[in-house]
Amino acid sequence: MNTLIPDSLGQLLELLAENIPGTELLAGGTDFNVQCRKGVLNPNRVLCIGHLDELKGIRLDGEHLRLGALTTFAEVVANELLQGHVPDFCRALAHFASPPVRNLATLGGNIANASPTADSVPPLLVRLASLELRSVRGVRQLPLNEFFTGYKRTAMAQDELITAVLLPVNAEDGLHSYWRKVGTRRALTIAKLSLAGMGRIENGQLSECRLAAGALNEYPRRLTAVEQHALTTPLAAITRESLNEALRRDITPIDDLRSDADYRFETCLNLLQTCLRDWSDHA
Amino acid sequence: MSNYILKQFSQQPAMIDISFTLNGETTTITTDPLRRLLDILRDDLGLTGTKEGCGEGECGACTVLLDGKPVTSCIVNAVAVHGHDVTTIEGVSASPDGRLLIDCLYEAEAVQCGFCFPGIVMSALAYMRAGGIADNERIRAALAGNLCRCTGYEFIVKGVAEACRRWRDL
Ligand SMILES: Cc1cc2nc3c(=O)[nH]c(=O)nc-3n(C[C@H](O)[C@H](O)[C@H](O)COP(=O)(O)OP(=O)(O)OC[C@H]3O[C@@H](n4cnc5c(N)ncnc54)[C@H](O)[C@@H]3O)c2cc1C
Ligand code: FES
Ligand code: FES
Repeated sequence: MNTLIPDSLGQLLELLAENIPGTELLAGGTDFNVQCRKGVLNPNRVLCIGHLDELKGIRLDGEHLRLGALTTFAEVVANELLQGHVPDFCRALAHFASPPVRNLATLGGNIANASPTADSVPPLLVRLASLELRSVRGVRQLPLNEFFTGYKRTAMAQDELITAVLLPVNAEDGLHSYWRKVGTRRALTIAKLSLAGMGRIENGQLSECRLAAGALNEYPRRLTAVEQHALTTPLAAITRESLNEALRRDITPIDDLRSDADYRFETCLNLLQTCLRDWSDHA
Repeated sequence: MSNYILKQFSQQPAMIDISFTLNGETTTITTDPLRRLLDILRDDLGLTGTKEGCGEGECGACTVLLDGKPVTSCIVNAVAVHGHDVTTIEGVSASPDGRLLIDCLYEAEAVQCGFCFPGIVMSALAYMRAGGIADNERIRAALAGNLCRCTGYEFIVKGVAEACRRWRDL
């Protein structure tokens, strides 16, 4: 195995451009080390990126909050700029793992790892986040909801990496938000199901509604059928049955050892109901 | 630490020089960039106070401070330590707040087998240093990454709360 420590982002991009199969990036290492130990990951070339300043820092950049890919969960939770603009996002990420893991785990790694349970993704999806992807060929922006293409598969090319996460600065302005993660214990819980939402209620009906679930499908994604249903139905007329009918059109459940598809489905329905109830109570 | 030059290795094990501050002293070692910090501490440097439980970031027995923040050293690689500051349980009693914390935990009878203890101390110390107060909920949240099979946590939380109280009164 080759381990390379590039001196700069430019050098890293050139190494990535060699397109050598089996190349892995090492950021915070929380997924990398565990997966290598379990034998799930067997890289033949490791590019260390944790020290690259170009990938660090949180700043306001025009209409966006720009979070460098190496931003840790702990940094999001404690950052004053983010607390000022997107306080509910900071709170959502505080439920992640444990304090020592939050100090290591990066946003870029969480997203790139593309796990169905990646906890940063549903809250980012409902806030219309996009990613900045970079390669020697140039830089491009991709809406987060176009990033995942299948189980652990992404639209990132082999020579690309995530350099930043972009959040609209007004992502939470005037909107209700929701985030719940259901697991077996409070700390260090891998989600059995998670639900994030952002919505606005006008005259007893949602005029804006975005919902995204984790651990329900092969990757975290928006529940577009439920969103449509919620946007076109007065809140008082939305029932468990009507949500059930809409949610069916939004799923391709994953089955694993942690809990079965029915359980996930029912739990998702419960969370959707609590979310809408929460919002109407505070409308 | 962008003071690294590109290293191209062709055979295993590839070695690099890593310099960092360990319990206040500059330390330089030659090692595999992916070697676990936990192994560097225990096997290469003989600091065996830091324990290995799960080896996967779940139990907190291997917790040390990296630039003052608690991290699980079983999932930290050598390359992440270069140019940074590491504090282990061996360095805790040199500081007055660390000494006080350990005393309060002993007084509260928070230690049984002691395996979790170094990790608990590191997480609790980071909490105290971040201005942590004697609030049971917050202390539990700060210790959420540290498992203890023996004590049931009550006495640990009590000990940490007492340390926070006394530290503020000093
Ligand atoms: C004890 C424990 C608890 C955990 N709890 C949770 C949890 O509650 N919720 C959750 O979602 N996850 C959890 N995780 C998983 C993990 O911590 C996260 O997915 C983390 O955010 C990964 O980031 P990292 O920097 O550590 O990634 P790394 O391990 O360094 O890298 C992971 C993968 O991402 C790729 N990568 C990293 N950075 C980039 C980039 N900038 N561009 C492109 N590719 C990149 C790497 O090639 C690698 O394949 C937990 C892990 C542990 C060990
Ligand atoms: S040994 Fe590192 S967290 Fe368990
Ligand atoms: S005292 Fe035995 S594990 Fe905590």
